[in-house]
Amino acid sequence: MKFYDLNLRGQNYENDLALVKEANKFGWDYLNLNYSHDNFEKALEYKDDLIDELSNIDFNQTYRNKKTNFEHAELSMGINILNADSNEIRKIINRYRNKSNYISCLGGDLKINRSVCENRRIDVLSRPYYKRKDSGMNHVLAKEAQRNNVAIELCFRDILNNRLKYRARVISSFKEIMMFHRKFKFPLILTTDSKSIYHVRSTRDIAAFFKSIGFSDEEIYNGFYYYPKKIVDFNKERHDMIVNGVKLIDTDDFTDTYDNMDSDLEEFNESEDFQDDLIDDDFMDDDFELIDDIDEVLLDDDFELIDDIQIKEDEYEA
Amino acid sequence: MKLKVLPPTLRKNHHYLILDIKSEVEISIEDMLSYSWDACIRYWGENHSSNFDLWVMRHYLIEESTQNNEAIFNYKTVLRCGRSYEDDVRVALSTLTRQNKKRIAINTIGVSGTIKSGISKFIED
Repeated sequence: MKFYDLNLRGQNYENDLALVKEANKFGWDYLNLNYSHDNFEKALEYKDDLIDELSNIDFNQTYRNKKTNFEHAELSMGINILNADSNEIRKIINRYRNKSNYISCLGGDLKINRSVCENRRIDVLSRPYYKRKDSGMNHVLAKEAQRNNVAIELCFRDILNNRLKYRARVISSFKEIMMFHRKFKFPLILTTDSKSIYHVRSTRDIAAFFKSIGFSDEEIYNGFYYYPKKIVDFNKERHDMIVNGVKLIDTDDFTDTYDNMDSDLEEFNESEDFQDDLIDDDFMDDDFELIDDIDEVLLDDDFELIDDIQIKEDEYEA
Repeated sequence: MKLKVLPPTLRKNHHYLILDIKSEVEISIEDMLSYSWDACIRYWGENHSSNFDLWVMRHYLIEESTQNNEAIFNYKTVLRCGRSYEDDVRVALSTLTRQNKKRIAINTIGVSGTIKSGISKFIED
């Protein structure tokens, strides 16, 4: 399983570099730095430098499992629209939709939540529960989000920054949004919204947190990998989409069979174990030997039992 | 009078979490233990935390660096916890972000059955 973090808070080159290095170290596979629309173009100037720095990191400096073929995290940049009304949002999207592969909008205000859920040109409604006592979602918004393919984002940093009853309220909002997600099937993504290296957590820690508040393995898989990858893949082809459901194809593509056009996006497999490509799988070898011994004993017993049954069946047939 | 040591079958089973800690200020081994208990009790409550049986076994300062004129102390710690409660402890530790108004980040980088294998695999490497 891969882990996508579509919301890292970008600020300046030094801070972003430290942030990206830290996230890469703790096992994230895809990182998306988000900027306000004013800073976005400035940030694009140092994107290549960041990627170069990332590719130069020694694998041994990361906590990745050596069995995986991991090299370094992929990096992209996007826009996070903050504190804007519906008109401003529309203007920003008209201006930046073709330049950016990822546009999210901070929620919290009910009008904003509604207008973002109804706008299929926006990828993500970020934190609809922001500064609210409820989750900021209802069945109407959930249906709209599903119809327009707008993902809802839950941020782990809201857990870190809040304490006591405020943290409990955020967790309650997470659970309510998850309830809507289970019923209405809109895309739901999980992110960290890290601003500094003190907000970066390992992938396994965050997966364990969401599991502890009642998310299933499949929901965690979809939130960290399936839906984020779908958003990234969709946006790579967005400029070819003429209208919903119609895509402009090059003449070369007509020669391809459908077999060649399969996506590498994997569905959740129930045997999926988060430990596969994560950092810690170390237990005593003695434990495994003990388990092997038990298996051998059990197997021997089973065979004896089967032999007994076969002998009895032979006797019966005779 | 000292209590007699329990036979091995009656002792509690433990696993060891290897932690990567970043902090703005220096952290002693005693501080680390109290931070761990605070985080667990705050997240899971007193009742569930009573199963965790936390104890700091080893505490090493790995690196001291600066970023934007702020000191960053990087530690690696071996924390004992009850077997089958590893995930609960790691969740509680990951939610800790400030202690005494100073920023701190605790990540679990490994789980081990023995202290020795934990150190050799996750700290000495």
